[in-house]
Amino acid sequence: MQLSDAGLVLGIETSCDETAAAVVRGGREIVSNVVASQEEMHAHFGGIVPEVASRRHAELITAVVESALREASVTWHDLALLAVTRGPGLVGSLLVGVSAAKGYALATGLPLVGVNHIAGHITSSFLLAPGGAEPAPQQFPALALIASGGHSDLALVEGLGRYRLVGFTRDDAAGEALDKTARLLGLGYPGGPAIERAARDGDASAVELPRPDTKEGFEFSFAGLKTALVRIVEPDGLEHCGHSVPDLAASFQQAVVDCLVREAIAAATHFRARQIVVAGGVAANQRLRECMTDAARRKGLSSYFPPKSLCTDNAAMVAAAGYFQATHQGPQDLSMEVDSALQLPS
Amino acid sequence: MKILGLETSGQMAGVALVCDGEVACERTFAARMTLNQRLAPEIVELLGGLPRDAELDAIATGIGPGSFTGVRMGVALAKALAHALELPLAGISAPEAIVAAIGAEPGTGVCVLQRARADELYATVLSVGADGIGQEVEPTRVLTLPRALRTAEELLGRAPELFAGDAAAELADQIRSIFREVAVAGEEHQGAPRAGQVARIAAARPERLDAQAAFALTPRYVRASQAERQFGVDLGLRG
Ligand SMILES: [Zn+2]
Repeated sequence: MQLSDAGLVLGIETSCDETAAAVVRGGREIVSNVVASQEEMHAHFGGIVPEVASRRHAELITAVVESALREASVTWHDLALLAVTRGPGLVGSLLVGVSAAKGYALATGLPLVGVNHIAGHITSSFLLAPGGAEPAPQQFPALALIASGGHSDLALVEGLGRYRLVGFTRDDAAGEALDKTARLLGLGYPGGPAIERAARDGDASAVELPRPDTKEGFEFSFAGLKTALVRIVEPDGLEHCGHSVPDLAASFQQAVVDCLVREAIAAATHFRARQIVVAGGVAANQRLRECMTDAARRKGLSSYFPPKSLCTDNAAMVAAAGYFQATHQGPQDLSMEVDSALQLPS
Repeated sequence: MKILGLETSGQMAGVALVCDGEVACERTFAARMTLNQRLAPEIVELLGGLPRDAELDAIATGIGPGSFTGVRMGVALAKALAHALELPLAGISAPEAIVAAIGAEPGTGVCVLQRARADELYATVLSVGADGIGQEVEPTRVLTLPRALRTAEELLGRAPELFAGDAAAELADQIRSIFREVAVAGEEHQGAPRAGQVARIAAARPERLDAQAAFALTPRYVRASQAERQFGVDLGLRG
């Protein structure tokens, strides 16, 4: 379908534990971006509880959408498209966002697209935030690394809205490995930021850990890495294992970062990518930013990390991905289903 | 007054249009696995077009108790409709809708029993008003059958005259072993809440229509989530 360069898209995102809505102009420029985080709530349980997340989404969804419209100073009449995450994610959470989006589509007559959350993360690198840093240049093909609590994917970006899955994790996601390790080290939830904080005072080479390599395609495997750490910590307990928590955290973080960088660079080289873009919650990790930037530069590649607010789940990325999806594939009808295991095309 | 009603808490879901207090049209469909796929298209079929062109005055939606996910989908869609169409919205409980379908005599004390989990029931005691619509004496509780029967008697100050709901039909023999003379509404259409009744109650009780409900309405879960109970945390997400 035809959307103008100034077309306004309302995005809705409820795939995990953030209730989010945003308005984006022309698939590029963020006009408003509202996120009601449930992080504090889930910290009570040391992780995300799907039923609790779904309850919260159902409670907040319309108020969050109203905030996004107000902050953008737009009304329903100004919009050209509705975009909502239809997967991957927690099925109960996805269903709340998709049901609300369908309600809005019924009420306004606006076309609706169901967006792949991972496509959203990739698109976030190309978004212009008000007063924010310059987005990644539109140099294609690009290689995208999406690393979060739910995913560790590599995608080839052939253009805006044209993404192909070229790598994934065989077991745990990078963020999931960090969460589990934070729990093992008694650092609390969410694990990524907790590990990063503890690692600041640690020596990343103090504890010898493997860098699991599947040798097949561009696949990650983090389960073995976590098991290696358990073998070091558990026999005598955390206090008597011979390593400090900062050293354990720094060494583990470095091992995860090394694996992410190794596969991303290998894939970028293989596909002759012109740049690397990184997104997802783990992209907020400073160590990953440093190592990826260094490794990419050595290969003559530039790398781009979105601002932290766009690394974590948000609806601006969904609105933008929806804009390009609608342009290429057109809108969907009101029987659109959710898919908790939705993947990018490969 | 035209009210669109949604009911998505049970195995059968439905959409209905009530005009001037009467059910003008109702569509019922199996909700299992396909609720998300069917709910919005069923509304279009019901209204012969989009709700924005149907000149609706209000929306009413079932809030449960029932299927957590099912109720949330109906509530989320209804809230979005009410939000964008700037219409008042009413949340109608499943027990209210069940009782409204029976048309019991005014003054009847009704105990609605719905299947919760294992041997637990959602128990709601209502008193039927002059127009045949039940007023909840107290919000729904999760109880075993013996405790539900005792609670109903305490709340009404007498034995209920009528039992209703899917679990009441199933447990009729056990109920009659305690309250001998009691009537049990067992026919299928009286055991489950229907969208037509949801909208009809909103029409009969216009004070229930709330302009703020597009933002404030929450499902009725009756109890805290498993995780909250296990960790001893109360997040107030009970509805
Ligand atoms: Zn994500």
